[in-house]
Amino acid sequence: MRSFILRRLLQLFVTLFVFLTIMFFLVRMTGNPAEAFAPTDATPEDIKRIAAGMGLDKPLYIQYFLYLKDIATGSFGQSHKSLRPVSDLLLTHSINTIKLAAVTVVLSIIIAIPLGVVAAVKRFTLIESSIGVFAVFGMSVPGFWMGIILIELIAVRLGLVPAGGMSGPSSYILPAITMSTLLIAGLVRLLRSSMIDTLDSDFVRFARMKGVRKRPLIWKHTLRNALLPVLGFAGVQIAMFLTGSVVVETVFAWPGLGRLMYSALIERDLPVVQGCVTLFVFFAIFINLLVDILSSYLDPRIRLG
Amino acid sequence: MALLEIEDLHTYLYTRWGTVKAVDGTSFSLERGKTLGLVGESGCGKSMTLLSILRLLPWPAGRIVSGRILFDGEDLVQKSEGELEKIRGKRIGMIPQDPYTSLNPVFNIEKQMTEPIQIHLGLKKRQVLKERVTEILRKVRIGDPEKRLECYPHQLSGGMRQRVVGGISISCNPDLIIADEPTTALDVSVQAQYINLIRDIQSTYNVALLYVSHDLSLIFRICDQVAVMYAGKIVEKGSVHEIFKETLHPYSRALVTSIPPVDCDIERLPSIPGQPPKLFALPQGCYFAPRCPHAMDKCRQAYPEEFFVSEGHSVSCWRYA
Repeated sequence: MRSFILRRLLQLFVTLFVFLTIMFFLVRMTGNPAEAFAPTDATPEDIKRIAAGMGLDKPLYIQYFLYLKDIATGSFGQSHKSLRPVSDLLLTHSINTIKLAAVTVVLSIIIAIPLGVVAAVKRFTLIESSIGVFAVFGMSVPGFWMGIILIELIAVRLGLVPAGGMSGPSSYILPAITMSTLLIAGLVRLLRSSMIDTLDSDFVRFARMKGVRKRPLIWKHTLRNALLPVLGFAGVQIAMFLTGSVVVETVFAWPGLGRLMYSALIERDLPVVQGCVTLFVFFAIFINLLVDILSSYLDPRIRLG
Repeated sequence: MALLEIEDLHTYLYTRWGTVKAVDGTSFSLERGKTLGLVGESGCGKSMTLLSILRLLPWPAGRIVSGRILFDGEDLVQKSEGELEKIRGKRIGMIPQDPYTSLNPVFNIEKQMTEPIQIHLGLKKRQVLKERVTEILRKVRIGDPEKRLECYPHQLSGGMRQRVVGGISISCNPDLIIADEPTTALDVSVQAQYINLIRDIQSTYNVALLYVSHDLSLIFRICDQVAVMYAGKIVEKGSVHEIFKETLHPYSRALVTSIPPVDCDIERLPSIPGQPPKLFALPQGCYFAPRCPHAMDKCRQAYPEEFFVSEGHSVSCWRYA
């Protein structure tokens, strides 16, 4: 198990390095950031001066090494726009995003697992079809629409919770509902079909032949096996939440990573873009690692080879 | 009174393509401590008969339409799910067909073996349970049982897994063991060992055994009673002694001859011509008539009744009317 985690950590660093390199060159293809900053009446000399101030006059390979140095020291350079260290920006914004993602994920799991299990167990009943309708609705409704409707109904008309921004615990409610709708719908559908398959397996039938009662049969024998395929999907979704949902963060004015990245891209604030993507890659790989560890815990065939 | 008495059992499967009469008026009985072999080719209703006894038919398609399954005098068809849970695994042990898929991949052997003992005998202490299952593993001849308990199913061979499954089925001292072709998934070399093991357990504990197979010669070796099933009905039944001496029904005979003797070389295996009938479109008259070399006009008109050729031997064939 230890060597498994170590091996994965090494992989993490190699992947990170490859991504960072690709990204460095990609963002430099989007145009000269100095032009975006310069006032409209700036002369070419002005723009050159601004570019020099950003360190963009140096040869590309020097920029690349400076960039790697910044990442290695953890500072990620300085934002062109606010002149604050990128690491500061990343820290405050990622904490906001992580908080919202954590609430969303916990909420989704608490709701999705019982729904998925019940939909499979109560097959061919009204309960199953209602859960199915809900799941299809959740998968197809766009996040921005859902967000706006929720704001209009619950925040504006009923005035129960704030319409946007990050204030008290009540400000989490609407964005968390919006984001978890898709995750819940996906989890429920996947878990339902996985549960149905597993309930039909020989080992579940054999457990019944042993006299195992219905409740442990479903929640222990079946669910633990049925969760394995669901875990991968959940991992991808959670990684997406951690990189911050641009749409949801914009609709609810949530000061998270998605919005930071979005505005940095518009303003061609390269150090901030680079910092964000570095963090995203790290999150994605980290969540993958977590999923692998969790599945090997659930399934001895992975753990013991 | 017999331990297990099945009376005119009808189990139907309601499928998209029509109603399948998987078990269509089957009757047989099994005495305490005796062995009954249920023989027939794939799809003849053997497994559905077993699943009817355990009331584990595929849901929602399978249903017991009529008939009685008397187990120790009580009708299992009338039992509630809660009552059945107390019988399954405790009074009736089951050895399913495929040991590779019958054990839960995510639990170790100890967990899976102690489970029925915990449920049915109420034992709680880990040490007591462990000693008990170690003892069982020894009985089913698994070497180094303490170490095996920590293994997961995928770490054991097929033969070993089937022994574990067998161990689970006897762990609560059942009155009846149902074995559904327990050796089909095993290597030939392991098959004989496993059959010997089942026979030993059966005679040591004096437990009744219902053994399902398509191999009539194997049934002749290990059983006291035989019932041959074709298209959901029993076509011939009786004591092994009688049926071995005189196999009457053309289908039973075909089953015997389609298994090659070890000591003779033949060019081509005799096989039964045609296909078993589709269970939702059964022919009129005797179901076997279309494939039967001796079919007469009468066979195509009416299904034969059960004729007793001797006290312990009956056959459903017009030739013995």
